[in-house]
Amino acid sequence: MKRINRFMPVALIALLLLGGFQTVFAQKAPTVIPEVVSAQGMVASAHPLASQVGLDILKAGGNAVDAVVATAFANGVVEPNANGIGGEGYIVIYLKGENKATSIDYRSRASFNPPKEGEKWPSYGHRGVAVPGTVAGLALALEKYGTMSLAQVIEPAVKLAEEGFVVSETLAGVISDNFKKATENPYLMSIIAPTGLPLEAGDTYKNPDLAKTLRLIAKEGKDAFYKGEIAKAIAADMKAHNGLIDENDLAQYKAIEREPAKGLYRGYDIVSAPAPVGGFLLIQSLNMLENYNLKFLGFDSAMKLHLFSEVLARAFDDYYDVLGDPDYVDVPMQALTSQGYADAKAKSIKLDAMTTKYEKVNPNSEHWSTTHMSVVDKDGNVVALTQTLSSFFGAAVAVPGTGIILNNEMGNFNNKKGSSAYAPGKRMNTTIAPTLIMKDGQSFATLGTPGAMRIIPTLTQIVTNLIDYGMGIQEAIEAPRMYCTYLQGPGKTTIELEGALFPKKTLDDLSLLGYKVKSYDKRDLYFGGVQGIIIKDGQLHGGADPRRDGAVFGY
Amino acid sequence: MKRFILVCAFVAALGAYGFAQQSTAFAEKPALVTAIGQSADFEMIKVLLNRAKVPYTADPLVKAEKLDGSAKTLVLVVGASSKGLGAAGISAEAELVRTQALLKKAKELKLSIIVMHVGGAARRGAMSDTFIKPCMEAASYAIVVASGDEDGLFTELAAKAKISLAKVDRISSAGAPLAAAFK
Repeated sequence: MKRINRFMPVALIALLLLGGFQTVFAQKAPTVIPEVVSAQGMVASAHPLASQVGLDILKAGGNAVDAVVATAFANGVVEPNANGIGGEGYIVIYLKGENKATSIDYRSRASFNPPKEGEKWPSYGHRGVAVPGTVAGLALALEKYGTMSLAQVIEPAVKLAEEGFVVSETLAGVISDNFKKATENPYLMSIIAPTGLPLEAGDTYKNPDLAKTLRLIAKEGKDAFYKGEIAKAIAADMKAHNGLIDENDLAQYKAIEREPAKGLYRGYDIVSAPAPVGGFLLIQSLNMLENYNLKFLGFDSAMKLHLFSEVLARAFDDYYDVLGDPDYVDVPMQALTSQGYADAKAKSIKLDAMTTKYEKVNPNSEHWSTTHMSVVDKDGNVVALTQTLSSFFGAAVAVPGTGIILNNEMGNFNNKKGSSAYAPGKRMNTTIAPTLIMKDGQSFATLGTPGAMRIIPTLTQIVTNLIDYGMGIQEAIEAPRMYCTYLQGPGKTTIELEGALFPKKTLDDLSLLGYKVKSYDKRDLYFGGVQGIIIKDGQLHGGADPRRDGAVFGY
Repeated sequence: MKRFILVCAFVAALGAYGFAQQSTAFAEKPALVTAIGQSADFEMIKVLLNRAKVPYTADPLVKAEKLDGSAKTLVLVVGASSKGLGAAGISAEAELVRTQALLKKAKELKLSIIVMHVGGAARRGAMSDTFIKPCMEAASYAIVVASGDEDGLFTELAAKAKISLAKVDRISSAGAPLAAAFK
């Protein structure tokens, strides 16, 4: 029996790899959405109307930053469940003329007013709201790197909010799913369920109050939001409902320009959003994967999915213990993104079974030697922007008279200790990771996705789909995805995947490796909504995610 | 000519509720409404019952033991939501067991059962279908948003169960046949 046991791992690996070989050479299937190709400029976002706004700005002579800011304001109107001026985000920018990569942190932050002793942040309601950063972040990006005025880039969003747009199946589904929590805020109900029942696909969604608010920002700048009439309305609503945010919190908010997180994966430079968000998790995961021949393992083999699960679990060890707001804690970003640190972590990975226990590696133990809307303009400037309300419809709090739906970011502080613990005024950790990829000093890709804890697993899969499996951008986006519940701890991982799109053998093999498997029977927005552009042979190739209402437009 | 217009008006009225519309009110009040598959559609049916002024108790996770005959009609809001099941802390398998026990007890108590599927195509798929089939087999009447029956599953199951099926084009239109079903 001992002898058999000794050979079991080898036999299992051989068995599992057989599946891998079968799939590496599988014929490419046509994509659900055709890849968009253009020569000069391109915008990919989660809504066709927002992408069209960005494209119009590019055609009018705006640069990639002008276009992404206009797209972001417009997207906040047409995807009100996912983002908006009551939320926050992060932008990563590459300016070709200056050969400079930079990023703008417009994460929301906690109020300076402390909570009650031991208070847990609710998932919705006024106390779960953090100070929004979107207006400050977009205004800063435009002021430093754009060429157009705030009024010019906001105007299309004003028009969309005022005239309305047709509700898609996706938005209707999200409104319906969040109907219960919305019923507790009559003003939010007046926006998303004006008849008392949720807006349905084909209905017209209008938010005239938001149009007025956006017009005010266009006229008076970001101060209208942080110090003027809008700030007063937010603070008054907070006070009336036991919220923590006051006028001082809003007046003190600032977006911050930061050095991006950088890494190298198989000769490609990865440039992503730094602390306190998740770019380093992507880089570290890719650094660990660099130790393996993914092509050999196959795209949809159980062993590859197992490897991803092991890698992501190890990367996320640092999410709570090491990552934090760099204005409050020292984040060793260089170590976290170094190849040496990732190699040390990868040593405990076994390919023949799910790891039940492993030693964590300390990034401070020695000196480690090295270290999503997507827009490309005609001059080669590239931007990735991800913004959010945290949960769909955020805190389900809409500020009366303003049309603004507020985030519920404070929940990201729940149960956190050490570097990620709550402090007054602190920015909370999150996994968003707008990312640029460069090759030999030239832009190769701009990528990003929503999806909460699925963001990093999804982006890791997209990057490897592009680089290791040589997929086109649309193919990479449509390829079936997985997520692993790494936060449950070693040995307890469930692998969730779009099982209907994987071979049945893969699901069976995952069980053999010790995983619980949860299978989705189609592409599901649970696994994110990637929008991306790659630049290949002088052409722009855009991909949009059928899991949401993604759309790419180019010219 | 007058007769022709009357016939046309009658056909148009039938068409408004889809087809095989329940012709007479059959369901006794009060109702008990539960979510089969824990989707958020449950909340919308509560709004429709309020509008129809049907007295009801709402319990998304009600168990068979709680059926004591005080509710005369069981309204099943069918459609699976992974998120909803997760939030409710119940697995799909346990939800199916709860459903089957509910249906058995409802049959013993001779309750009327109204199946409501208002989530359209998005609320279909392998998991939802697992719940739809036993509910339709036990149902007295079904009201569905038509996009959820594009493959004819509800039509086929309603024919097999020999029950009336009302197909409506949107959630808000489900209120009229639901109200009309109650005495």
